[in-house]
Amino acid sequence: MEDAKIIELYYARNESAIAETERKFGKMLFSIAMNVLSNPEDSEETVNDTYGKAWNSIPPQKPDFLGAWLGKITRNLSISRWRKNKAQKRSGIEIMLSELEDCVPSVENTEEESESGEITSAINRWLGTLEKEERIYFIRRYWYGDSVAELSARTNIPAKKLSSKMFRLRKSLKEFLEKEGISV
Amino acid sequence: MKSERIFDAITEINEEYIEEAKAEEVKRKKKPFWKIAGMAAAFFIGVVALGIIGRILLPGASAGGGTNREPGSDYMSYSGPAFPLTALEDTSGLEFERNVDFDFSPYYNHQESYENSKGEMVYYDSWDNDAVIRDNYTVTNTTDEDITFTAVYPFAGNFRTALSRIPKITVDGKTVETELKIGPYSGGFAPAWGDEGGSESLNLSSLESWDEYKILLESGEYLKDALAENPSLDQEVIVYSFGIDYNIPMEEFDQIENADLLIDVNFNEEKSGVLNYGFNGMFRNEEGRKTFNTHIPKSFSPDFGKQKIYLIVTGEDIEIAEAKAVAGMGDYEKRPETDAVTVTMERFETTFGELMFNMVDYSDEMIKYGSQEEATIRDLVSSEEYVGYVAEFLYAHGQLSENPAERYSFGRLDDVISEVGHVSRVMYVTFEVTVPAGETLEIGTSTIREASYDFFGSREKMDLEGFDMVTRLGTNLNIIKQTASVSNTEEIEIVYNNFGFDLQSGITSVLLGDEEHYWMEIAKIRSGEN
Repeated sequence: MEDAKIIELYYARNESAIAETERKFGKMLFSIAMNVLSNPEDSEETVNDTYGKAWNSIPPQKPDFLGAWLGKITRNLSISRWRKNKAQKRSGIEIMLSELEDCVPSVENTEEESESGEITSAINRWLGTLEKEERIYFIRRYWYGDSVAELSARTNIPAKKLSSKMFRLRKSLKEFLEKEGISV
Repeated sequence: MKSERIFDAITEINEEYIEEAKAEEVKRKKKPFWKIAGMAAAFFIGVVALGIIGRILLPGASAGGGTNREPGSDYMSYSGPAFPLTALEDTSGLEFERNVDFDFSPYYNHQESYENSKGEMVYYDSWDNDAVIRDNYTVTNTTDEDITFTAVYPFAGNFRTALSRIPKITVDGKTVETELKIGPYSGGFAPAWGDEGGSESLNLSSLESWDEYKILLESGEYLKDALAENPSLDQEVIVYSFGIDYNIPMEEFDQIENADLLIDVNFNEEKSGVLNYGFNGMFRNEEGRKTFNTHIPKSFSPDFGKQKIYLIVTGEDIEIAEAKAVAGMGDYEKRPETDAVTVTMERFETTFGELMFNMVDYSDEMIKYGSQEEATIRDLVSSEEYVGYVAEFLYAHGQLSENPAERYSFGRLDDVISEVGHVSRVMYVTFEVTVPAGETLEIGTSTIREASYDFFGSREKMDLEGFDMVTRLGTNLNIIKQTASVSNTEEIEIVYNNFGFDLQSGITSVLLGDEEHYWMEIAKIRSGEN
């Protein structure tokens, strides 16, 4: 079903909106949650919470990109849940975080940390400078949380080549953030 | 950890970028695809191609709506028009008068409820965005001999929704038995990223306007395909079937992180084709060989105890270089092998059709875990028939096609089996009618039709929903008069139409002229607005 039709179901307060959402985006949302939490039960609950939030938010909201909008909710809920149970083993998010350490800018003479919104804006600008393919690889890895192996399977690019591409992208983001005077 | 701030900031990046990177739209590098010799099914490839050509030739056909769209034109979600009745035989000597009534009673409010997270029942007003379309014919036999013909009534739909939307047919008020005939996929394929994708065929592209149906149906070839037998899948294939024996108690296995099965294969892509079923993905390992991967189910997984994992080889046999289970974090290739399970492998030879039946039957089992709507596929067609439609799709667009859509280039049969249930089609109910010499009878059809929809609305109005009909497309009947009417309109307003309806002036029934296509766009009157 088209996204717009699903949104229409939410507007009509028709419960099949949830079923249609689950059918179309359930797998994607579950994988976003799993990539952060590495736990099926937690991930399932997070996805269910996502449906609840969607039901309560549409209307009045009318997401332009329903999948991305739902994915953001899942990702945020997953991160919150991960922070709550810090006692866990090394999960998907920790691997991503350790890779993203490469992006942390070393900006001198900055005493205050940049606001989160400023960092996002800078990342958006940096994403805009990338070739589309590179942008997609970065977002698949660090937004959707695909492992390099999954991404390799999806793109038919050898895992090694992708890893080095990711490494170059992280370095490039670091340099960009430094140029923009972003401090984290 | 400072990277957490970057990770958080990435969450809020532009949604356009997130959308751009959606899983199903990630561009795969093109690989040469091994084709199975002598297996073209040109008879319906041509018809489906018509749909694709239509999308290219018609100005604005793929625009998919937007704020500047004209009312009654293309929709983001198009349900298709009400088509006229037709006949398989020549019906000279018969005259038909047609009236199409759009009954909007489903738009009336009714109460629905759901249980919220606190266990409380919540009640709310709801309504359906459907109309009941009664497309009725008065048939007069002007000759002095009885005339018998096979009537054919078309409707647009798909496997998942068809059962609730099959037209009900009456002759002189009595319900008659009908036979269902199902046409091939009516749409085409489109690039993942709009025009810049050129001729890419990564996304499904359903018909969005009546003009596209016109191109699909007017030659009559599509109906012929719907009435024809589906192709068989009698070619021999070599099958490698993989299984899992658990070596430790399930409560222990359930704690193991990321247990996956990896099958490393070695073959000449020019001489062998390898299709797969039950795998989650495939990657090129460091030696450049293909490695197929899938998860190993835990006790709580829906497919636990039911998982079927196949590599299906057409052409020369392949070498299974390695079959192993790995577990832990990180890239597949770096994960240590686990002895928590033993991977078993069986090689056998069979026909593609027999194997496919096994897979479809298994998919039907999986449907039980899906929604009620999905379960209706089982009531619509048998597993054997479903295999026929899968075969038809494979020959037209999938791995057995001479020109497969890039969407299926990975060789995942699971995708095709599932897709066959989703894609839009034109279906037909057929029934026999005898009109006695010099007499008149009534043929009644009643179909529940969901509204066509364009989320962005047209002109100043949002939330508009479309219903339409065609007067001549695909029919060989001598229809001497056509009228249309609307009924139960209390909950709707007709915002735009070319029928000539005017609810405020009480014009609810009109004589139709020479137009090929009549349409209306309506809006639900919401509480407090009327």
